[in-house]
Amino acid sequence: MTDKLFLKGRAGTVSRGATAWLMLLPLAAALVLFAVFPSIYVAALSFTKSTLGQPFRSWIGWANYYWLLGGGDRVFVPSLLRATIFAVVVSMVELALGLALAVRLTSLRRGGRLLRSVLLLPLMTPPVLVGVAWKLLLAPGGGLINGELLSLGLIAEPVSFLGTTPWALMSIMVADVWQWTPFVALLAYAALRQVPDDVVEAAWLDGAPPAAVFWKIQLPLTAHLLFAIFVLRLIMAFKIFDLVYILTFGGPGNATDMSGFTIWRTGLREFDVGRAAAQTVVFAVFVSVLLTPLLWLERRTEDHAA
Amino acid sequence: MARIELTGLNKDFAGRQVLSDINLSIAEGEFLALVGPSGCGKSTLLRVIAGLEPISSGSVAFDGEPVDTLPPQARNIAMVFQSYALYPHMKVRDNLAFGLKQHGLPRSERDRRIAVAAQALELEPLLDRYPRALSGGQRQRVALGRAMVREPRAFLLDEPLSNLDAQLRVSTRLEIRTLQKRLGMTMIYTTHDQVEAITLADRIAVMSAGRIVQVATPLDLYDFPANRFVAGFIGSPAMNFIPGTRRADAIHTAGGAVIGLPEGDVDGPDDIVVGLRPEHLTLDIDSVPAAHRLDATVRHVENLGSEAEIYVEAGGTRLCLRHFGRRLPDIGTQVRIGFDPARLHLFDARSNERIGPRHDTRVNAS
Amino acid sequence: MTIDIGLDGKVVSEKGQVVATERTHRAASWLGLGRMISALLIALYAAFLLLPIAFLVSLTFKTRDEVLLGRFLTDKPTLENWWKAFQVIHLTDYVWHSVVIASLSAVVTLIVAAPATYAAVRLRHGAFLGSLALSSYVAPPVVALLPLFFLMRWLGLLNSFPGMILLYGIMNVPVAYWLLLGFLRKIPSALDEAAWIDGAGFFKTFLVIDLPLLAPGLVATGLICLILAYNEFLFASLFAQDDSVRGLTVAISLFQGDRFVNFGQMAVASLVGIAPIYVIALLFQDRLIGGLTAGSVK
Repeated sequence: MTDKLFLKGRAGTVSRGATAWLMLLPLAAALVLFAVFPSIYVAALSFTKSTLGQPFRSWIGWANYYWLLGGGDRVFVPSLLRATIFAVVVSMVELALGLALAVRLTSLRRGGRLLRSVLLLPLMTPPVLVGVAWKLLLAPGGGLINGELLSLGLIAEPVSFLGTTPWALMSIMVADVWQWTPFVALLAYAALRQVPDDVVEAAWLDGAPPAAVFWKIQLPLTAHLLFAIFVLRLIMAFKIFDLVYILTFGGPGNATDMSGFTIWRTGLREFDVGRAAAQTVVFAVFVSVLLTPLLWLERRTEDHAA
Repeated sequence: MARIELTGLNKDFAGRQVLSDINLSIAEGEFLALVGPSGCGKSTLLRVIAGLEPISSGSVAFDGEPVDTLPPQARNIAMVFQSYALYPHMKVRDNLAFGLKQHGLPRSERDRRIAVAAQALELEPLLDRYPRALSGGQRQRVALGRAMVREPRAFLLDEPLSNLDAQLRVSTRLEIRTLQKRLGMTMIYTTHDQVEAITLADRIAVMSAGRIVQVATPLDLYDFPANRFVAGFIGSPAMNFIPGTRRADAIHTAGGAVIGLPEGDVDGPDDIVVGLRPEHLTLDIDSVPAAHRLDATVRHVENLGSEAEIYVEAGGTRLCLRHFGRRLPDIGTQVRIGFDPARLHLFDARSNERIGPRHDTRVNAS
Repeated sequence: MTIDIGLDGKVVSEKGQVVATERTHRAASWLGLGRMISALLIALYAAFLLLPIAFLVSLTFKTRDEVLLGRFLTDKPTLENWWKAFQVIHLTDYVWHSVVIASLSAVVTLIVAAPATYAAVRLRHGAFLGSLALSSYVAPPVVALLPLFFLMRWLGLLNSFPGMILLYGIMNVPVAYWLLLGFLRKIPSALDEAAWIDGAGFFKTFLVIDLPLLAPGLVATGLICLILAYNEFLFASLFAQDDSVRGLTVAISLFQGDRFVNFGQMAVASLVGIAPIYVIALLFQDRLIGGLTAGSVK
């Protein structure tokens, strides 16, 4: 009997490799659709004169790139730098605030559940609505901030936060920090919880004040995780689009133009799909060149810690 | 039950030789223990036999039929994992039935086998519980039961007792051995605990750094370790090693002992390591000739109640001896310890291989 | 053992040994003070987080004139905005579109990502595809905007539910793959191996062993993907402009420039739009937080 079963098992099992590839098929298809095809297509578009209605009108070689990087386009290159500054600043501020919050959370004895519900709110809010909420808060007429500042007599006239530099860019940053700091705090909190309690308690018994416990024990032990959180936020921050669209639409002038938005406007407002494609390629290359060393470093520190 | 043959097995992983040239044959109904320190490759070898790990070269055969290309599903072996690996979302009964269902056994046969196993392992009251509601010992028995009901060609057990407390370990050890003998199971069992291996196994394969360094019965392994590694690994406390030099027809050791060599033994290296087990050293030296004594200083005494382990220093070498007398020497005192030359082991200091006494001299040695 | 705490701050046991010095004592009182400061700072921060939402709520009860004062509280609350908002904007339709698209797309995401995770982690095949998916997440979505527009137009999937469901379903695969990787690694691989040895096929093991044990992780991952899809704007603004599929984010973005929609109605629309997500967030709080932190902490 045993031998019969043995033979049945042998005939009935699909091999490990075949099963694996069948199970990977949907992912492979998804990657082709969402990564491989768009990359090739957008690269091809960037060498053409194209519109939304009529892609691939004619091949024009490197002309779009000359226009882009040779000074013809006065908006795009500054938008790259602005996006970089934006991403780095908000990621750093969010990490600092989020970490501070996470440390406080670890010493919180009550109300943790309530607080976590509050933390989830900004995180769950669609960025479009974050933009709307902040637009209403910052509005010169009827905005809460101007209203309160006026009634307190701190300002004589309403400030157009979204219509003047540098307030416009800072307003987008504030909205972004409002939305994402809780996310960083939750991740940083999880990271801090990775430090075994007895290590922290041993430091207390050694007489270390809370600040020393943080700087000498918790921070070094979680540095690799915090760095990973920072890189993740950096990646996400480069994608900024919704807030710009709702809050400033790139303005005043081009003062809040960041690449994601610039590309969208070139392609879908100016309908120059070829140039938008060239901008996209430059943006993608720029972001990967910037992030690759960081991702490499992240993996290294992770291996080092493991 | 099957006969298992491993021939010329090699496994490379990430540029490292995890298993090298494994040749081993396990007879039908035999209990073979794989022992070695952690990382020696014993678990990998077990997983290779189960079909969980691919091999680089060589072959695995059950009853003379190669199974290298068969996935684990088709090998019809059972395995007990160190963590037991009970399906946490299934009751004990369903854990036992799972493998049988996969093989398309009818319900009546499933129930019969589960009943038999449950009775043998006293699992009846646990059948409708989930694994999380069981104690460590109970989980262990369920894992054994899950293997048993399958009536497989062979049982593979990966450190099955290492998660149990000391007392339970000893009683379960006995249970496994009884069951294995009664059912005539072919069983391969990995452990890092040499005592477990010696008490359980018909034969023991000692592994180190991906190789099998010796395969022998427990007694042979104890009496004739093939090299210093096996000699040091088998036996507790570990064997003492004393450096010595061959001059003319005798070996002079640190601590001043002189060991005569058998007549005619003229070949062999000059630098020698003498191995003496703690239980073969004695403080009672009246009957020991002067040449078989060592001058030593007592450094440390560990009283175990039934016996004591006395650590001494002789000629710059630390030695341990098991002492069964009730009067213990004070620390710091000078003592003379004697040994029985018939119980010593000689190793080549350079290659660490055993050079004597040889296996065929056992009759004289005892 | 009795312990005396001396006036000098030294903690002395019965036998006269000093078991703790003033320093530990001081550390303990620091902890008490620190906790109070922490609580205060946290309360302030929570207020900051709630401010925009609370302001939205207060706006919904204000008349057009009162809105212009820019104050937080109102003297004469009105409910007019609430019923007017639903008249001016087809709010329920948009929320419904978003909910349908987001939830079905989350299912698509899980169907693509879960088997792939199992294949990469347990069957140890094709992990590079997973890595590729993860690195594709680094690229800004605007990269795919134009190519996908032409592709979807060619396939006739613009302004359609299947198109949006598929789009979001695929878009969130890297996130789901990353999160499920964390969840799957927490399930001991010995369980799969035991099932294989018991004779269950590789795919069947995935179905009967891993999926049931992965259920909490699947729920958390699914919810996160649902929320990401619900909140998405860039693709939606181009691929789902038509009123028949238009979701909440696009609707709001269109109305925020509309002169017929005042601040109060805008606030109502925003709150109604956020409501489904907040309900999910509050109901599944623990799952969500577990999910968000699953991939980052191993």
